[in-house]
Amino acid sequence: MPIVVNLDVMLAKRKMRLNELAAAVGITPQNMSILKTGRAKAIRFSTLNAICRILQCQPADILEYREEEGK
Amino acid sequence: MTPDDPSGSNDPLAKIRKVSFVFRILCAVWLVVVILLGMNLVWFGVKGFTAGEGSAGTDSTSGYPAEVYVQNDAGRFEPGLGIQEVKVGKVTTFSVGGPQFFVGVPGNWKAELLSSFLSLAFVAVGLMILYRLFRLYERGEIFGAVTVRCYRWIAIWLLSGWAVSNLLQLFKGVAAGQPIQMHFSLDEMFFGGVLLWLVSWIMDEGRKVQEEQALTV
Repeated sequence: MPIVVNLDVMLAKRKMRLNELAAAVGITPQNMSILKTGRAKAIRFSTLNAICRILQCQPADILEYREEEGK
Repeated sequence: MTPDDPSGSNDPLAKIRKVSFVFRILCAVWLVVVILLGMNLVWFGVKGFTAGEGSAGTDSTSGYPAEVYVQNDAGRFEPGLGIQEVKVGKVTTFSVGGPQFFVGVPGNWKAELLSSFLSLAFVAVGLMILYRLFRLYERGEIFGAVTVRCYRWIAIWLLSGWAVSNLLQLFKGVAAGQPIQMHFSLDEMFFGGVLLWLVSWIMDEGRKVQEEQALTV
């Protein structure tokens, strides 16, 4: 998928663990892991809103559009 | 089974796993029986090819002329798979007409033998698909992509059985000197196959929707 999730970069910058972020956002660690590993098919605005608020960042810091090779 | 529940008594799929295990074993046992019957047919085939001509007569079970080549020295077969003992005068042989939906060519025991091989192969394929399906249920994969593919294979199995049985009926008529009549009966195998294909398609679409929802964070 062309949308790449750079959550681990922001987590490292804020020195926060995935489980802590999941608890703060209000979703399960499994779902947060799905998002981090790029397996998510969609993300709710409410979830994105909570992540940006907790990590003090912009959506563009977490989500990146990367053209697929060969296209 | 979980660390808090090592016995697995709170496993919601426990009943499904147990029943699936039983049916998987039944499929395996029946598959072994079919393979043994197939090996017995091979034995008859070899005997038939090496025994030479026998006395011609009428196959009393199917009503069309049969050439008796093979002397029956073996034990009885299980009924239901279409292999029956036939006495023609003093000679005993086997009528290898196969299950209801596979009809051999009259007057030709080799074609009958081939027809029975086809029948047994058909049953064996169905049993293998069912074995796989019950193994998936045992693993808890009830609505997964592989399970849906199994349903699709069963639908293909039913539809191919319907097609082949109707074609063999046509060939039987042609071999008996009848005019070619294209008569395909839409029986339970056809409708079963179509319905199962439809069900598998619906399940696949539902699975995609559910996966999409499960992967929405």
